[in-house]
Amino acid sequence: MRTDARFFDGEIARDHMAVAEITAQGLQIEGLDVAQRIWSLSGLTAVTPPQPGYPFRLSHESEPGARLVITQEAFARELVARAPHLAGGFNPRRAGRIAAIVAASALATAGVLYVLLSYAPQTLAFVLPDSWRDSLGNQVEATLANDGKLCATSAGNDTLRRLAARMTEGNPEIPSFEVKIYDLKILNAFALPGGRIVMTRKLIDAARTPDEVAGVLAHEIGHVYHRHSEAQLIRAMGIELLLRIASGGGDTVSSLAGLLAILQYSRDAEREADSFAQTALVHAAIDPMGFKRFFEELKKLEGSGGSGGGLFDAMGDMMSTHPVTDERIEAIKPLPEGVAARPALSDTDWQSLRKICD
Amino acid sequence: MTFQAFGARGSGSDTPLSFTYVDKPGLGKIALLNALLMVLTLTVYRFWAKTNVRRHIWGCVHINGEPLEYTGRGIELFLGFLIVFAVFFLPVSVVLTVLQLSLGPEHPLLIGANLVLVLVIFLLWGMALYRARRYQLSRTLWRGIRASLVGSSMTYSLLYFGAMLLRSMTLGWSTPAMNLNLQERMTGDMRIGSMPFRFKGRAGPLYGPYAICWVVTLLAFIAVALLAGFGVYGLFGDELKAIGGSVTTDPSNPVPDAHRIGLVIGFAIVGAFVLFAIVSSITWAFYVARELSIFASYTTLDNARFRLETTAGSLIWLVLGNLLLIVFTLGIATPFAQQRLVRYLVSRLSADGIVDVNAILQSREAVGRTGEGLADAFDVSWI
Repeated sequence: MRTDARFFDGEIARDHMAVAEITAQGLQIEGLDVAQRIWSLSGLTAVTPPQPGYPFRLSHESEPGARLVITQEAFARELVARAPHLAGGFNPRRAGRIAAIVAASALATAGVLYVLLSYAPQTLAFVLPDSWRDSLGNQVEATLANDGKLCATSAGNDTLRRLAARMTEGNPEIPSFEVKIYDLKILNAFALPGGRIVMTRKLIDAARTPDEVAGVLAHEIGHVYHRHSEAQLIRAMGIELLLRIASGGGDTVSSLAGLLAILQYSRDAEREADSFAQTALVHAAIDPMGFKRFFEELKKLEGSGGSGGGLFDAMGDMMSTHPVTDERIEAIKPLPEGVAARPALSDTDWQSLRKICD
Repeated sequence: MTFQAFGARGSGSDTPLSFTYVDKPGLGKIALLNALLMVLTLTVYRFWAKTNVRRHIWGCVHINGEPLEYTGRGIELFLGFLIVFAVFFLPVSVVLTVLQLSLGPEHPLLIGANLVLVLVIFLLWGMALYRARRYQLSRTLWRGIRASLVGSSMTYSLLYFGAMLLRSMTLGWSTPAMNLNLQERMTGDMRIGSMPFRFKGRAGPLYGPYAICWVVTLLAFIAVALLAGFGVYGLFGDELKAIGGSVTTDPSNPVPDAHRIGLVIGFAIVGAFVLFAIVSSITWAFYVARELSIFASYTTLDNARFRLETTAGSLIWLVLGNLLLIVFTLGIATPFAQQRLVRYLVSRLSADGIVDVNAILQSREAVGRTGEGLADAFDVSWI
């Protein structure tokens, strides 16, 4: 089968009239000023896929710039019948291969990132210089406190200082920290970078005994001890950077993800802080049952639906950042035999703590 | 053996040029598939999406009956992006983060570093434009002959930066001359195969339209400002006086609602701004239309001189239509907006004179392996 065709040799822009013929060896092209050549069928590429009513344009691997334009549809159909890869369209084998490559690289990337984000931040958190931790803490505290009133700090308040000191006595590995009581709209306690522990007035109001407050404080000291908040911030920055790589600079998604990531610790982190709290409370001879009771109260609150309303309310509340599970409540054990419990605070101290924001 | 020429213009040494946009089906499928995969891949697919659209639109642009061919590949754009990310954005992010961590967010050194970054981005802006153009041309074939951009992106970048500085220093009056300079460099560096495009002309004819648009914009600004001012004063004149004097004598209407007045003034400012933006956009469409058409008439290829018939009205309709098209389809129809733009230019483009097609030889310029990293990062390429 043969047809008239238009030929470009890929060296000069002018066109040549040629005759194309399908032979046993392949596609033979020849013209008055076109030297005879044979293009193998397997080396052909359709520059534009064959479409009825449109010229069919072909190139060949042996002459990258050369183009053959066929307008006779019967010839084009015959050629596609002989060389089906020219038809274009959906190719299951090729699509399968691409899907496999994409899936494999996506899985590998996800795996590497998961490992990196799980372990690297915790390690980095311990090498962060104290001045950086402090600067980070300043920024986070300013965002968190917003315009809430600062009622007292362990630096200025004797009751808080003594309670904190009792919990850390004899453990030199705990970095220095400061306890701050804020009057905020939420019931919560946070460990921030740079050794700042923020407790809200509502938390103290909700506690029935000083042992409960001491338990929460011990838990937050655990977060400080393990540098959880620094690690979490580093992780959030890493996630933000990754999202920026993916989207080429999308900010809304990344900052929301960052905020969620900062406020919420992993279950492992919570377990570590709980276990630290257990040890510290026993060491200070404070009854851990207070801590346990506080958790049980929170659990009940969760059952009743909590505060409800608004994403920020939900995030700001204790339940969302410190999800209490039965497993965690179970893990809190009473003082061992032979250790006599001493109250966390004297009655006078407890009364003064309850009025700290007045 | 018979040789039949099917509409074969353009085999000789004295060929006139013709440009047509020939629609073909398939863009809708590309648009939908692109949108779907962009969502599924958190926009990483954008490089392949862009490539698919270009391949389609290039193939619709016919010069003397033969379509353009786009040979770029998504992976090339992706690699270009990764390189720019690794050598520019990653180090910059790390340095800024470390500075912020170690010094706090309001330290003068951090502010200084941010200013330097802004300066560097301005300096690289022209380079991004130039390199994107170079990549696109190197992937554009006509009759199997490759186009190219042969100059230095550094030179262009400096010129672009200078033009930006000069523009702000001269309240805009350097714009026509500098635009001409930039266009001269870009067009003068363009080749189709071995044949260069040439650009030659004076900035003089641009200044008439520019002066008119500049003065109209100034008057529009004053008018809109007065309108907003008098509007607010007319509504609240008495109450404003009361606030000014902070004494009220009428006990039935003692305290003017300062909060409400503040709100209305806020709305007036926003409204005035929007009104001014609309008026000045329409005004400047006249200049842009003139500039496009004058620049085209300064451009030659061999013995052919280009002509682009643009009007402000059609340009406004083009931009407005594209805006609506993109907004109301949440970006899914972006390929159609790009098609409208290319179709607009191609269908209004023509050339007087002839080109020696026998003198257009295959390009010997080296072809880069990756493309458009900076342009993607700054989001400057329009297609």
